[in-house]
Amino acid sequence: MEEILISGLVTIVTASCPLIFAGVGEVVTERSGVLNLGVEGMMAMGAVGGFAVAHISGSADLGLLASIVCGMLLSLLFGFFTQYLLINQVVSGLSLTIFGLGLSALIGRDFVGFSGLGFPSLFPDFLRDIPVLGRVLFDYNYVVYLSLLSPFLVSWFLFKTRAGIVVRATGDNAEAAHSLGIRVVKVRMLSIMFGGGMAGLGGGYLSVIYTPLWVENMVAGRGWVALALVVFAAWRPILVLWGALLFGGIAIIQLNVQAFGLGIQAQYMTMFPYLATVLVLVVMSKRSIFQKSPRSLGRLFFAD
Amino acid sequence: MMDSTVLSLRGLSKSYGAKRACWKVDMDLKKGCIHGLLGENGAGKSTLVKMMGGVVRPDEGEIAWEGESVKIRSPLEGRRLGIGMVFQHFSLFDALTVSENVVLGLPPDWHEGEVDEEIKRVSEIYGLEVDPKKDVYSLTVGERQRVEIVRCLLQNPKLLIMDEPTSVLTPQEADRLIEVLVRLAGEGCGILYISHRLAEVEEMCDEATIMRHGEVVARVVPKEEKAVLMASKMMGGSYEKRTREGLVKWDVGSDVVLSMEGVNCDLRPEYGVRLRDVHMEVRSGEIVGIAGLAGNGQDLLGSVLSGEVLLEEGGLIKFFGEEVGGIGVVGRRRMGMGYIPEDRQGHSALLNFDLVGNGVLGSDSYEGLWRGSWLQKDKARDFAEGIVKEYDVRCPGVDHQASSLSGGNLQKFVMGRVLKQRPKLVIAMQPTWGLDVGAASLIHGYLIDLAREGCGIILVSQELDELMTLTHRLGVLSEGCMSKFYPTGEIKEEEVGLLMGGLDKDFAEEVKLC
Repeated sequence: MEEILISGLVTIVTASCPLIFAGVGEVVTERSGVLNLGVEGMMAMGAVGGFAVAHISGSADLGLLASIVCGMLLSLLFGFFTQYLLINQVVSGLSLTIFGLGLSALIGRDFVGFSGLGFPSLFPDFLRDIPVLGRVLFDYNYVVYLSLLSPFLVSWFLFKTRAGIVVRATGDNAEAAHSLGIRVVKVRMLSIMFGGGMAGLGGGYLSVIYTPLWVENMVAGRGWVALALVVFAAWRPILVLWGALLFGGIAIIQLNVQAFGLGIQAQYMTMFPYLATVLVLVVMSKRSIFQKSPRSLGRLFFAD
Repeated sequence: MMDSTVLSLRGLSKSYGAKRACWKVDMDLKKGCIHGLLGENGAGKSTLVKMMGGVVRPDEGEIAWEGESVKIRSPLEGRRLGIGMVFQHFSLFDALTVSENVVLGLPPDWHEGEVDEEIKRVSEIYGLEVDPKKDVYSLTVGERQRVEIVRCLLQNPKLLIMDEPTSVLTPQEADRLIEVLVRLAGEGCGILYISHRLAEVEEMCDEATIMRHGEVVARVVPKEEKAVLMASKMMGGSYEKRTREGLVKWDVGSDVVLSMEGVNCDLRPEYGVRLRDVHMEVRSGEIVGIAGLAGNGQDLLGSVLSGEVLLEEGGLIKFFGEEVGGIGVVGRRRMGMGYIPEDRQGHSALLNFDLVGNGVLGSDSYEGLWRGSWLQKDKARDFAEGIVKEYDVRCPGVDHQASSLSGGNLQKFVMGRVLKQRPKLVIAMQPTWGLDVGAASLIHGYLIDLAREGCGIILVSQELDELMTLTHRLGVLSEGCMSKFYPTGEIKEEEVGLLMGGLDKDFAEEVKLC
């Protein structure tokens, strides 16, 4: 029993990682007033780019770096369309997902069937050998710790730094931000790129560390879950962390439903993140402005 | 004497397409001087100010700051020079706290902690109370404006530009604001004060520029010029202040059009106040005024009268003797109740719809527009064009979006839409709010004509002048309670003021008797 709990906990944490990365990134993007529905596509590109570079160079770190770059490049495309050509964000985002999934499959053809590299744990053996705690707390690689830390860093950034206030102001009222001399398009481009990089890293984590191999459609809807997560967490990075652990946990349970002997269809589990998000929205809808989306979310901006 | 000019404009022009928003404007703003900028809506005031602040770039002309020619390419550059602006529509961020809002207007080397101290300091000096920790969305309009002013003041501006600052304030708040501005001017700050309220300009401005159709038509010293003259220059023609005697001289009919008996309405989250035991009666051909400061239940009263909020908590609303408290908006409109909401942009008109669409919406009782469920497109067009023609709506055409109309013209359109349906009762909520003198007097004219033809009118307004000149009887709404109704000729403004202050009815009665 203890073994099941420990391994369950560990798998939940590792399964949540990509959700945390992508979710936290998207929080920043959306806080700046941009709705990027291309998370799934950016994750796919991150996954294939990361795996390819890791496979060719033999360095997993380099692979992760490449996944960030791939996510960012794809998000740049989105940013160019929405911020400069002023194309509808929903349409651009959806196209980005379709495009990213297709392109990643194309690039990934040559990498199917290879297995990835090992990835060492961050902490030395004597820490990992501590009974129970060692496995639950110290048996992860540095990327996992980074993902657990990122919500706090981003939260600090958004709520405590001037740049963070600028991002939130841009998402709240772009016109007013412009009149205060904030360069709205620049702020939004940077936020989009951050979101893209984080989504790419989430994808890279999947292919380089988690599985580790490349198959088509390996992101398997995690990008959509991350999007739901942002709403679920009311655009707060730290809540994204808890939400990701919850949704990640559900995903694990879904895999282990039979092992646990529960009579629940796997499909219900797949539905859970979205159902939970809708429920949270219903419950919170009248509470306060902080449960509402950034006011400029999804709206195009251009200066006179 | 040293040249005290802070900002001077020479031949500043800006066009949007074929429309000249500003044309060769010259202006000099001096230190320690309150300069009024007057003009009707659409006269080009806002465009001019935006060019000064760097929000909009001029096509032509020169701007000189303290004697040196400058180009203000962005709001940031404007602020660096020392130009502080308080806009007509607030440029605050609802989701941020007061101090976060203020920080954004300051140079990057400020820290939030220091800012809180500074906000407290400045707000104490000028009596502009604001709590730096509060979220902006929870503030009232007056408080928001204070935040904007404090934000400007922290930048130590040499020139403060205020775009129609009092149009959103209660009379008391407006008085306080004027005190602050006079004080700032006394300290050497130049102030450009944009308004269409002549009385204010007359009271506080040292000099004034009047604009019309994008051009400067006059420069005056308001304290020496008569308000009537300024108004006529603003409107480019003759202007007469309406008096009660010249207007309200038709007989009120004997039919009771609408009566409210003991109407109660509980608190709803979107309205701040509940209605308690409201009584009211409107006869045919009668204009009944309801005074009161904003936020005393006017919105809820309007919604209860229009049918947007149905009566559930007791009381009766009767329209020609028939109980309508449970009938919705469409039903009441078909019975002949016309409603003109306070918020033109979004409540009474859809800004992204063209005028044809806006004409059709809310006109279901107009004959010929519909055949069954099918809209008669050319009829709808004729209908909208008819409104535009009959009610002097100035617009590029009925195919244009409602958002392209100025506030005054949009209000005329909304008004026309209601009046074309020949209502027997019109509920007008602050119909001239934020409108210039010209548009306001047209709207007043329509209301008068309507009443003359026997329509009952409920006029809810914060402008006491308007109520005093137009209405037959007058009541005051204070914290959701309706006072008695007094014949307008028999109650003085001060007495209405007391009722507005929420004084006990009996006490107010005593005051009246004295």
